[in-house]
Amino acid sequence: MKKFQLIIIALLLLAPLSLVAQKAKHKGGACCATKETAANEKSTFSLGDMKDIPNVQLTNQYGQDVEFFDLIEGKVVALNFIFTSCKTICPPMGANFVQLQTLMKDRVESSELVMLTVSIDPQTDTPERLKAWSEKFETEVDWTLLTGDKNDINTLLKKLEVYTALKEEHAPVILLGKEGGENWVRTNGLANPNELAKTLNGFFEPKNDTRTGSTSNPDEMYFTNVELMNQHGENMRLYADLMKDKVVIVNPFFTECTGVCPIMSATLEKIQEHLGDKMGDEVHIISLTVDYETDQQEELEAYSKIYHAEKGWYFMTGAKENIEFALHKFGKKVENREGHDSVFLVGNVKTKLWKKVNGLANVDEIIAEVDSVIADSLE
Amino acid sequence: MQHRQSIALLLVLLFVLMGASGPVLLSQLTKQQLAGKDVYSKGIGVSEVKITAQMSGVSVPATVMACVNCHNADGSGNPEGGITPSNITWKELTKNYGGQLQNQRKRPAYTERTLRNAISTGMDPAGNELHSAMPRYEMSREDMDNLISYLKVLGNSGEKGVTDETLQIGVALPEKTNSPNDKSESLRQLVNAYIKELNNGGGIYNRKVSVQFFTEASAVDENELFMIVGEGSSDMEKAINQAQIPSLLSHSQKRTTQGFKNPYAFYVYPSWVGQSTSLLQFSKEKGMLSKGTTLTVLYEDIPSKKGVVDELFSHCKKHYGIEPTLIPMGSNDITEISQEIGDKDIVLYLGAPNLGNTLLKQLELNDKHPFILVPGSITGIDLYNVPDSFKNKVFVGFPTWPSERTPDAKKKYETLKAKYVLPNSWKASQWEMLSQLVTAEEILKRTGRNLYQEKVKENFETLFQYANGLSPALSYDLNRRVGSNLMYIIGFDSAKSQIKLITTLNSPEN
Ligand code: HEC
Repeated sequence: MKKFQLIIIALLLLAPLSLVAQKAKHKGGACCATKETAANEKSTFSLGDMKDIPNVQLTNQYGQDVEFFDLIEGKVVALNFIFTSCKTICPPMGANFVQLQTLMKDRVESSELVMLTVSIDPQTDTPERLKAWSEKFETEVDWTLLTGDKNDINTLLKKLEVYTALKEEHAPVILLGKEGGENWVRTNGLANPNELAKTLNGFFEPKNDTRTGSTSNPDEMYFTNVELMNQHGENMRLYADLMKDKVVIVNPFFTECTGVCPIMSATLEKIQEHLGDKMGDEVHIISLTVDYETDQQEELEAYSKIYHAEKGWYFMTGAKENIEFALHKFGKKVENREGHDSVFLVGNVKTKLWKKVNGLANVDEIIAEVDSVIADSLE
Repeated sequence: MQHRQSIALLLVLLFVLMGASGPVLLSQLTKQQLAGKDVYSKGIGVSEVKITAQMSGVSVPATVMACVNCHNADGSGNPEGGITPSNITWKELTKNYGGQLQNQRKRPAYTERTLRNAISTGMDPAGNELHSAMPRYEMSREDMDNLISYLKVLGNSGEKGVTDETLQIGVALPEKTNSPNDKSESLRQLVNAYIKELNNGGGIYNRKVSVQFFTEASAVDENELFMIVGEGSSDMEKAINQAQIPSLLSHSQKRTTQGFKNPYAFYVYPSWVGQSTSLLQFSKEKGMLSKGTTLTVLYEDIPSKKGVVDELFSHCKKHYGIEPTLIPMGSNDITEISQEIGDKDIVLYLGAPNLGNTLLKQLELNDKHPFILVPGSITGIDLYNVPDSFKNKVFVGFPTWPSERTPDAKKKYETLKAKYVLPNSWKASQWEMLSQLVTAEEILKRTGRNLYQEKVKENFETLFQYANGLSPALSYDLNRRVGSNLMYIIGFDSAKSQIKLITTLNSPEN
């Protein structure tokens, strides 16, 4: 070997020379110029349609391929931007983000909220680097960190209007919003996490949540927007979809009930006829099953056809805890299905006038009561 | 004059040969300051209770937010994204006319007591709140004491192997042999000559450089070394990362570990595996290697090569769908092996350097003429003495080539050689070592008088197409640990009866 090396050297000492010019990669100097306006001012913007981002294929910290749009579709989103070799502002941003996650834990666990961290230095930040970086914060909340092809990441950053040519110039920005929604918030990612949580909470539609809905309407807070399903298989929120601004007639029933139910339903059919065009627009009839196990959508649909139910008459079922919760709110919750009553609750949600009417009474008497509730006004 | 220098050189040599441990520099820091340095640069204390950092109501382990992140190893402050951490060297903090904070507010000079207060409650000596980007730390009394003692000397380096007058560098050499042309000895002489010249010229920013030669990985930790150059190995890499000493090594044997898992060991060339796979890639491009090809890897049965062979096996399977036959080869096995190899096969030769030509002769006797691929920095074959029938069948890959050398660089070497009477043996390796020394000197100079190991590492990571006139241009970044991917493929030009450069390609490593 030695000999060989010597021979080669001897031969090539005379070979043409090439010397690549030395360019020290620029660092330092322009590093970290500030974008304080972006960081410190809270501003709102419209994200536009994220679906039109072409092929933004990213990789999460576990090395799995993910599509950005799939991650955020239909969700409230908190999005921040880091690179793992950024030392001064990124660890504090990470800490803030983790705290925000802890505050929003329920929303993250119910998949209503997705918390994403995007690397702005995807060439350096391999999945394993991102994973190690996130693990330093010792959090247990689900958190997705993203890297990917540099072009894909840049496309995304430009779309989100957070792109900077030099990664060192990046500002501690956090974006909060809802996919498809208009008023996204761009704010300082180092801000107090409690404030960030407040902003985030504003993006949730009150939905399927009995406690933390962001409403100040006492009725809505009482009835909540627990999610039920009607005879057409559509999900309806108790307050927002079934009750808001309406006059409602609420009764308990179940499809296999052969005693009082057929009488009540026949009566309701007549009331529906009487109300005509008001049905759906002004008045909802809400028949709540007390046997959610039997009464699935098909049963309700078949049953509703017997009584020619039309627009505005809903036969409702739902997940055990949801339908039971709704029955409970109307005082109709029973231990066994046969124990339900035959009282119609007639309420004007706007004026808060509520009447209890015997569902087995004469139809005309009931109609009179219903009309009086409809006629009630705030003046 | 000449005479005195030789004596000096001799003395240095003697010293190194006799005293295995050599001149050990004691760290300038006291035990307490060293403990404080751990708090400062890692967020780790000596107490059981972990140190935590609080920021806008959020509490995280201090390991996420060590002081060094924001204030730098020298206390100078690392501005980023609109946040400007203060210079917190003792001198700055205690100026009797006070200082100024990020928002232009003035504050009085710090005392030890007000400094503790600032770190734990975020209040400056005037009782005003520091910017919220400065975390508030919760730590034991003892950890705080240690930290304060370190802050008092922050900015005065205090790094391993550095004093005001000296800088100690480790040079990793191959094992010494009894051969009169010992490689280790040749390199040692070159290094001593280079360092002597350097010190005669004033050293590096007025520090004289001293050298600690070693071969065993264990020496990395036992000595106070600021930086290391020389030959690498997996053990060495591990020790280097443990001790966090920025190092420039020639190449690793197994596939090079990227920066994430290997922050401190920078390699000049692709690993043995990378060099070998480059040759395979070449043979594929030239149509020698295809899916049905029988590929045999002949190797010297020593641990370093065994590991390489295993990685090569999985590489071939994955990239070419070929399972190569792996055969260990000693001098007694040649006859048998040459019978097993087919005329159309490819042989990747990782055997002993002195057996390559014997193997070819034996193959010729058996009328077998497979292609022979030889990674030149792992083993060797004397191209001038291969049998005629193999002249166009042997390809040698090198990660560097004399054409890289500029006239200035050549002059530099020749001057050293003449002045210090350097041996004629192992010249290519001497060039290699010279190249490493030049690069190391450049990096140290870029780092400045205020030397920090972390800064040296970062300076390596900003090298981009750095050419020192001796070897191919080097580029590193946070992940990249192979400076040059280039491979030169050499063959024999039978018409002209001389060696020729066939092509260059980029090693798939990195
Ligand atoms: C996340 C970044 C960050 C980290 C980590 C950090 N600091 Fe700071 N530090 C700052 C900033 C920013 C300031 C400037 C505050 C201001 O201007 O009001 C500062 C200011 C200070 C000051 C006050 C300087 C003055 O002139 O008043 C001291 C002292 C200090 N830091 C010590 C430390 C120590 C010790 C640690 C580690 C235990 C540490 N810092 C960790 C960002 C940081």
